[in-house]
Amino acid sequence: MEAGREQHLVRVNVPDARQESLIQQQAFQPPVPLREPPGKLLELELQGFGPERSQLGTGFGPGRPEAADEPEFTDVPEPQLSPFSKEGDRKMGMPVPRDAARFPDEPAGHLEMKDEGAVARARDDQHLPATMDAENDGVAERPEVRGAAVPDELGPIKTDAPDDAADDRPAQAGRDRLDFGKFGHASILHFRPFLLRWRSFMTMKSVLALVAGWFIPGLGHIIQKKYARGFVFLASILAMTGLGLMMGGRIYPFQTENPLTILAFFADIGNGAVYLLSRVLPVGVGELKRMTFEFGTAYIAGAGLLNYLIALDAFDIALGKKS
Amino acid sequence: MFQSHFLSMVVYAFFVAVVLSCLRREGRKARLRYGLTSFLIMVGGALLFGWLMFLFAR
Repeated sequence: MEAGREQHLVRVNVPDARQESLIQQQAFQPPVPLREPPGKLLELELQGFGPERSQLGTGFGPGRPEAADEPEFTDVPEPQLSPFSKEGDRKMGMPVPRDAARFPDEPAGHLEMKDEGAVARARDDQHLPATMDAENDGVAERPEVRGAAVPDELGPIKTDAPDDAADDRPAQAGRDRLDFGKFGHASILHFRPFLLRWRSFMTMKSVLALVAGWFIPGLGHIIQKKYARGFVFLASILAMTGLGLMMGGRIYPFQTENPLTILAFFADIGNGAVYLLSRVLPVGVGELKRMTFEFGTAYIAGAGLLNYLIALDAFDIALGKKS
Repeated sequence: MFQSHFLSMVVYAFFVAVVLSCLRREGRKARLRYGLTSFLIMVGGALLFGWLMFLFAR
């Protein structure tokens, strides 16, 4: 049996088809095209159970909305079908919806069945009889039977742990060349471009330029031999910070008493080494009585914000985005 | 130091213009033009906004 088809049939194993969250969770798996109408396929697979099981298969699980559209089912009166189905439902331990109109949503993967050509069906015909001739071995491995309560007269059934679907993941990992283990890969694949881009960003040179440019203004440019620009940045930022300190400005620590000072904290921390020194030395304590206190604080905060831009510029130069 | 708020604003605008011109433009001439333009915009905008606030002064 193909791994892809088995993976598709896992979706049939939803305990309650009316819970859309379960169906959507199964829909995260990429749909594998089923090349047979669901009613016909289930009928073929259940023929080893006898006639009662065969009729049960026509109304089994999510294939029911598809079967309602087929003409051969319209010839069968509904009152004749319902007793078998209800009895089968009780045996299977699964409530199976009889009204197709109440469940218009189709599980993922069923859309592809309508567009399959004759070539694909002929190829499936080579596989389906092989599984049926194996003396119900295929039935024992059918995924839709795994999670359900199956009566004993059906014969030996390999009911493994309910997380047998994890066995399908190596095949998908082989296709995607990614293996995210027990978490699955479908949702994480959405972040793959970001992960790859992040990994390309985080080179040693770029990180060093960023940190150095933050710690000492202009140092990120100087270590990349952009001396003129680096020293202009160094002089400008240090001059602004020095003037701010001389005006009695304050370097704010992180405090939540006044929420507006949190913004000033994030601006001040852009000064790098000056901010760290202000935490251990009596620098930047702020002299509120001086009329230049506000302007001095604005100088220090502005210098910190500009230094963020300078450090990011050094980062871009290290990445080769700028010259 | 810098008892005049206007002088403080002009010096602040000068440093900001220098840094932004070095960040945003390549070449000496382009940097000079960009720095001078941004400096004049900052100083002129501050003066304009100051006079605008004067109209609503109590």
